Amino acid sequence: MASKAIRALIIGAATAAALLPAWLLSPKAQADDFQLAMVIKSSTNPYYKATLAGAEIAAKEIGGSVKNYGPTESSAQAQVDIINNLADRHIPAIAVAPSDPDAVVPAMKRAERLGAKVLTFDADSSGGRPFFVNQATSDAIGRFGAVLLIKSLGPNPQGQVAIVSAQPTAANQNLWIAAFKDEISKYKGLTVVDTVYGYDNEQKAFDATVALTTKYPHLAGIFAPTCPGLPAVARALESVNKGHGAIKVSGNCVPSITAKYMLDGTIDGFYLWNPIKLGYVTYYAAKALVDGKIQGKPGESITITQGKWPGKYVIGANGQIVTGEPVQFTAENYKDFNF
Amino acid sequence: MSFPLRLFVRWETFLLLVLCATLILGTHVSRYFATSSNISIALASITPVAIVALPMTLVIVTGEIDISVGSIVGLCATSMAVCLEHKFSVELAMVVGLLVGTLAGLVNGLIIVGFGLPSLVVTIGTLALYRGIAQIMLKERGVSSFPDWYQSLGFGTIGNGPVPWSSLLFLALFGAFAIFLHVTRWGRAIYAIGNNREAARYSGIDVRRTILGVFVASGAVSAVAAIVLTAYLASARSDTAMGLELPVITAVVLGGVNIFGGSGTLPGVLIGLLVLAFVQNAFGLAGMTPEEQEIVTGSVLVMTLAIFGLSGAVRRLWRR
Repeated sequence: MASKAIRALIIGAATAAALLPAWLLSPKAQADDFQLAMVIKSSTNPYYKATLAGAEIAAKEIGGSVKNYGPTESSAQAQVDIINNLADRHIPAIAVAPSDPDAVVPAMKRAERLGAKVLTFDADSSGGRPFFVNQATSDAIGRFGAVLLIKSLGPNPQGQVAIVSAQPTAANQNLWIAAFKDEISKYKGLTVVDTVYGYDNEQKAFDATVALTTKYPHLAGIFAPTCPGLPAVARALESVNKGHGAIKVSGNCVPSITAKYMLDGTIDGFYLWNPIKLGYVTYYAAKALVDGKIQGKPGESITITQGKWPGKYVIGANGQIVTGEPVQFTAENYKDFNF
Repeated sequence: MSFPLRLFVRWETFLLLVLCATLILGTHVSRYFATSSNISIALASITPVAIVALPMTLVIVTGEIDISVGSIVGLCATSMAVCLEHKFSVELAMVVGLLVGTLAGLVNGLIIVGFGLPSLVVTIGTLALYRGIAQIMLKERGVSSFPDWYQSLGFGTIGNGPVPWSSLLFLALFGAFAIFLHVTRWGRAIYAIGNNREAARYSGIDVRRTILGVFVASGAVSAVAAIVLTAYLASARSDTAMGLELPVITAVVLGGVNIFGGSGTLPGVLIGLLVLAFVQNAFGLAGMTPEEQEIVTGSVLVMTLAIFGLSGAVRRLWRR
């Protein structure tokens, strides 16, 4: 009967349509090469394109491959899910930049049990890793921002200072802010009046900054150690006619989206560290762990004999490899930092 | 229509087919897909969403919606964290969390029923309100002093097999909700309200009390989800479960529940949840980045709905 035929046809077609992806995605030969998965805070942040670029340079030098994995919007749970999935893929090495230092720990331990080597870079976790590849000490990063802001406020710095950070829970930012406040407290005329949050979102950072200028009409300076929050802070100040030096700004972010506000005078103290080198050293360290050259104990070191950044990188007593110092971007040097 | 065709055109049956396809796909893309470690983590990661989807199904069947569930989970997690900071036992913290969740749901329900306001508007408001309270309570602090037995609710599995403890908790709740919705007369009342509120009222159903009840259930069960989620994350913060409402509502709608109320089943929602869990998991194992996974998951959702809609259109054409 015709209805029976149609019935069979519909069932057949639907089944085929549902099974089509399975056929398209037939198993690929899995290479046994070294792979590093970098679990980043958010995939829309250009900063992590720079760390990836550094790791890719290292991969060209010593072989293997590297890829970024991050949620489109910063979330601890999304990162945990990503680490769990990578662990079950049996990726040899996982480098995590945690957006929440505690939440990632069980997932990192689980990945280790499943055979992966796990370390942290860019931001540290509260455990579950042999060592942390740090771009510059948190203390240095926070103080550097304070010194630049104080310098732009003149010889006798006076007035109210506010902070625009990423999330209230961002561990890096909180450490930098602590160092920043400590440095500011050395000047009697300066008071830190408020800390607001842009949640790694340009619109939210913009709105938070506009609200700050309304709440504190005599604000003298803003410290914005957040990316992509910093350019949004500058754009907000310019839109309320407090840019171009009316309110002094220092902060860190990537040059590609921030440099124009440095060039037009809104951001006086624009700085960062070298994220390309951070990714580069992270890759070497992960490879050394997987190859069994190091266990990850304090005092051990990796030596890069030839390549872009040769040198000896030591795991300090605090379980950190520090890859560099903060760098101030100026009209002269910013073009050298192509990220 | 003969029996097999009627069975096939049921949304649940179709969804089951999609689930089977997903599982076959999974074993094709990675040899690690069918390991108990992978299956357990796919289930564990969806459990907080799955738990909240149970009362959400009831809420949506009555023709209402609760956008504030993510914030209620966050507020419960924060309350538990504050209890732990004050050195209360974790058991007491859990009780406090449950009370806070129930209270938050009660507040939602009372505003909606008491002022006769649309639940969409009210819960958008309380979404911001509850999250704000959580942020004031915990500020930037994170609390991770949960004992090991508590944390095993997150990743731990029964006898190191593929079934996480949290899934067992979910199954118990699922059983209770399924019996309530599909067997009892209160369940019938929920469908009646969703289909025609006026008719339900005239047939003697206390519409206001029933709606109040489903919102209280939504709050209380969100607290259970908060327990599972803080165990999964081994920590609680004010931003815990931010945005949880979206996957919850996605799963409920994918499960065949009419977003305007009146129809849908919990077994359908269960299959929808499993499809969501394993589609994401399989594409992750295939080496896709999260952005690519989002695109493909979205496509699978739309394709599933489109194929079903198309098969219905063909059927109607044939019968004409």
